[in-house]
Amino acid sequence: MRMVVVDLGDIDAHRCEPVAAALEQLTPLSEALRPGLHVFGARGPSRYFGGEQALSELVARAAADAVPSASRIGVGMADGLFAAGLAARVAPQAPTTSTSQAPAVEERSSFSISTAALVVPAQQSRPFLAGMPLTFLADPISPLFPEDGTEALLDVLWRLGIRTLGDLAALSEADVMGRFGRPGLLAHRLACGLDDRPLRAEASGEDAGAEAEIDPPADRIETVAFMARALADDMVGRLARDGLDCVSIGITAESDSGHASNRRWRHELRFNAADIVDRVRWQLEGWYRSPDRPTGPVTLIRITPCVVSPADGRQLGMWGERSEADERAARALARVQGLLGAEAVTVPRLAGGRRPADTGRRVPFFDAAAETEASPRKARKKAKATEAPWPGRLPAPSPAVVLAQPEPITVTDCGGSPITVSGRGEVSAPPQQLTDSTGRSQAVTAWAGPWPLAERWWHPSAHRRQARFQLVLDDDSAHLCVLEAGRWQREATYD
Amino acid sequence: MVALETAQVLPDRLDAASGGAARERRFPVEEALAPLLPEGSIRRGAAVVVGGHGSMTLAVALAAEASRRGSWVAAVGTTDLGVAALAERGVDLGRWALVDLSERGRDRNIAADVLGAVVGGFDLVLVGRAIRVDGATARRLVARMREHGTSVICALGNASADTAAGLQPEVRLMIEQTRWTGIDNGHGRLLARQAEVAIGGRGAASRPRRIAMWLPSEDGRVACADPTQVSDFGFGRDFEDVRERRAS
Repeated sequence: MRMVVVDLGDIDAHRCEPVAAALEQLTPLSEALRPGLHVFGARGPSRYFGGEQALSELVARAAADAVPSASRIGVGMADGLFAAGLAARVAPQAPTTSTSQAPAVEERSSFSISTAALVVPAQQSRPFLAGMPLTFLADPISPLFPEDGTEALLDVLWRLGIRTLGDLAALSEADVMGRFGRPGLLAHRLACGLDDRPLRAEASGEDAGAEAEIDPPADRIETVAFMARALADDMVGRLARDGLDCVSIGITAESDSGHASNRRWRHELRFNAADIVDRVRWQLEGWYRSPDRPTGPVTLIRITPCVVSPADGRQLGMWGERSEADERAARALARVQGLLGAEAVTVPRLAGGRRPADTGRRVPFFDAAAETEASPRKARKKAKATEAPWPGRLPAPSPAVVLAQPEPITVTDCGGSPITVSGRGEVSAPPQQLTDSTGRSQAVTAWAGPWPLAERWWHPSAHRRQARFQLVLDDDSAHLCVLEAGRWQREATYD
Repeated sequence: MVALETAQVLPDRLDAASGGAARERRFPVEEALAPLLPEGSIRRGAAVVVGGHGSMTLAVALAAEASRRGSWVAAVGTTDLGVAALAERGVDLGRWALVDLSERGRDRNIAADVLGAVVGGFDLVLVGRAIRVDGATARRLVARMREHGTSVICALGNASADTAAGLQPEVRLMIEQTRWTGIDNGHGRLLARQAEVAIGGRGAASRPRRIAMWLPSEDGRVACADPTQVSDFGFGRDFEDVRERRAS
């Protein structure tokens, strides 16, 4: 997923508030990882603002205008959060001058436009990362950053002679998994440019959110932070009971003068209560020093989880609320991934579709955590797509065996000529015999069809026309066979 | 909802028998499948072998109830398991993992290690016909199943029951005769499947029996057929025996 990261280096929370406000003008879904590190999905905005290069330059200019005194401003765009963050880190620097006179700002920011943004083209994250030093895995943009074992992991890798992310990516995934377990696998995937952390900012505005009125109104940030602590404990606890982690939250503060501050914060991995309180503190500091600061004390604080994800194997070894059985299963799967590679372990998910191969998906176990299915609105949307009528889909029973690779077969009539279906959906003759790919022939004892299926008929290259049959053979096995472009294939078996 | 009640009673009874040991000793199956198994459930640590056309459907149905009750199920070497069919059997997809052995798993040593790992971590393991375990590997696996209380369900398809003999299956369910209904020459569609299952095994299952089943029925359930309706299946005299035995 294409992402844009704006990196202002080490900067006080209150000084980056204008950047958040400026980004909000460009996209409603920008999030702050921490003060001075902002991120948003690039797809929509880059179409709107005339391309990726144009967007990142626009962002760089907006950030420079918002914080003219920033020591550095980097804007990076790439596939995935990790690569985009590092692109922002190494983006060529705008010359920074202390700015006191407005015309100079204008001139400086127009000069910095082309230099302060680095766009890594799609699919190029891996070569881009290859030359980066290994230590970037412990960068704040990395999901390994807040983890305890990261230093030790990098230390061992370093002593093994691995100096760059490219060196790490060159190792076999299974070897890394076997030697270093899940953190190693995560590091390896990051080095390969496979950072699949979702960025699906979406206000759920319901369920687990919590708010507290502050009475008497608080005029000190610490007082609000104290209230926020109780809210955060409560919210994280409730999510954990449901087996959920929160990766993005919204914080709203209202003052008795009628002002309100809304910000969205995102975490590298998952929020705990202390993290949330930090964000509240940062947001209030920024708010009280911003031009539209409230004139009165704070009367209300609200914390809303925006993106939640199932607490999954990714957090192996550090979750508190999971059952022993879940933990055992996750550990066993990690071991299997070490033996077979990460892609060999999948989790079944229902999906919408017409053909058997479409109605069920297999999500790699590793990515299952990234599916924010627990985001209530998304889950409902998904359930709708699954339950929605898919005209042309065959009714239950569904085949228990769906071939990953359809098997080429021939189906002939009593005279031995192949069965064809006319454009009007008429069968040339009753199917009499099925010959499979090994050359074994069996008589057809019962059949039904053809059910025509035309998918994406409006699309010149992606459209498909099929005629589907259910065939029962003389050994009482039943199969779903498909005739497409004159070729017969066995797609599934009702085993 | 009758199935729920029986299964809730079961652990209590076992607790009482074992002096209050909290751990369930058996995995429940849907009530409609209980006649297939000794004590109507799968003993922890035991292997169940299912063969014949429809073995995958029956194997999944046997695991469904346990998965709904929070047991984790791993399907190993069943690359082509249909996800929609899984859902129709009512399994909890959130506790179901699929392990694909089609690449590196062709190496038998790796396949054995994979099986060992999932047997240690999962409650139920569904094994596809692609895996063959025998000799010392099988003995180690059986020991591990008993140690961890993991049960294995083998879906053999057309392979002979001997291929799974190394797992010392407690129950063998061979689907011997099936007939699809609802489909004819050029009209209708697959609606339901009638099947005849030969039950054999060791211990309580050692007396051979035959049972008529729906795999699935028109309303989508996998269930043992009502004995009073068995004659409708028309599979021949085997069911006469069943009815006579039941009558006597």
